[in-house]
Amino acid sequence: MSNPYADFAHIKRLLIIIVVVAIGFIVARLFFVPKDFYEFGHYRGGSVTENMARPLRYAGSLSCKDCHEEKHLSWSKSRHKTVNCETCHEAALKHTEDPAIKPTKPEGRKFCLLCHAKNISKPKNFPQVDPQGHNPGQNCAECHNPHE
Amino acid sequence: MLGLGFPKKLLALTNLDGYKIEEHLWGYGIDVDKCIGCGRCVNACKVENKVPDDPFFFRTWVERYTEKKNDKVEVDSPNGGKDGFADIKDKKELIKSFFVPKMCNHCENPPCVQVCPVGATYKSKDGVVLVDPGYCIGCRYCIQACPYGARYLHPEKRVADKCTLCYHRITKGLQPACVEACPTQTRVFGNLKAAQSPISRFIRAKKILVLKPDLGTRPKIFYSGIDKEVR
Repeated sequence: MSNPYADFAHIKRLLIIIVVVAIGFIVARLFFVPKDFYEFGHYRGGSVTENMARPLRYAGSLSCKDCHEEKHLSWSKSRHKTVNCETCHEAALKHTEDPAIKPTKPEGRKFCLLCHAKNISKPKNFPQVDPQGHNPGQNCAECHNPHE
Repeated sequence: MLGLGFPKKLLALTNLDGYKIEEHLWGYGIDVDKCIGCGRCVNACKVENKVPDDPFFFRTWVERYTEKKNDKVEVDSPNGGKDGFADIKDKKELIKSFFVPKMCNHCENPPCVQVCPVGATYKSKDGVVLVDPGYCIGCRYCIQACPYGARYLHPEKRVADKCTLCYHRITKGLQPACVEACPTQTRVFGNLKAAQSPISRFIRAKKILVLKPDLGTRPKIFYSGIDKEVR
């Protein structure tokens, strides 16, 4: 008569290994998983604030108004009123902090033509000119004031 | 599950600095009928987010769709549309042509988040799909999984990078840089939870479509005026 459960030693060894690995895993993840993981979901909660804290470069048209009120007024009545200041003058947050750092001022025809060059893919009601036919070589701002 | 039931949710570990994340669900509208393909959005995005200036690294870009008489559709996007588009020379075979700005669709069911093996990309509580660059291992699974091609591997940081809807701006009450720079109000942005926000008005006023609706990703970039050819 043999007891089927007598020869149990090899199962025991296996169970000990499994338990040790499981405890090792639980202890290791206590050290390796950041504290804020799972705060909001399966990610580091601190990553949300890190994404919020990245540096700004565009200041927004409202901050231009504080100093350039006259320009802001004429612009807000002009045909270019949907075009924000920094669309043409580039990112200007540094200028709001230190007025000595000047934002860019687009010169010549090339910048105006980015929007206003004739192109069949543009919406038909958008004002466009043929750059070769419309006073070639002349600076747009000589006739057209972009702020009015 | 494997959080082992630690009461982490009771501890406010992350200080959101007064930003009420629960009251926001960010949405974005693109009115294709207004886009002139000037590429100011692409430029603004690259400046604001320090996106590498080499071609083919974009968080947002502009495509030109050209439909021809022989049922052919061509799509081009020279340097992501950053320097504008030259006019089409051969207009004989042309039926129509228009510009479509593209970017991350900030899906409600984002495939990129599903495949991330380390929890480095996630959908925040206000609906923006973000990347944790400190946790990303650069395996590129998310780049493969994105059906909109909106992700790229940052060539210097060697981590996945993508549009964040300018999370650092919108949480301070500013607009994303691309919306700020758009001269024709093609791009509309706002809080979907506020009935009077520009995006809620946009959705009420326009006929809205999303890209690849059959995939069930439920994008939060809402298009108005796109053709069936746009994918």
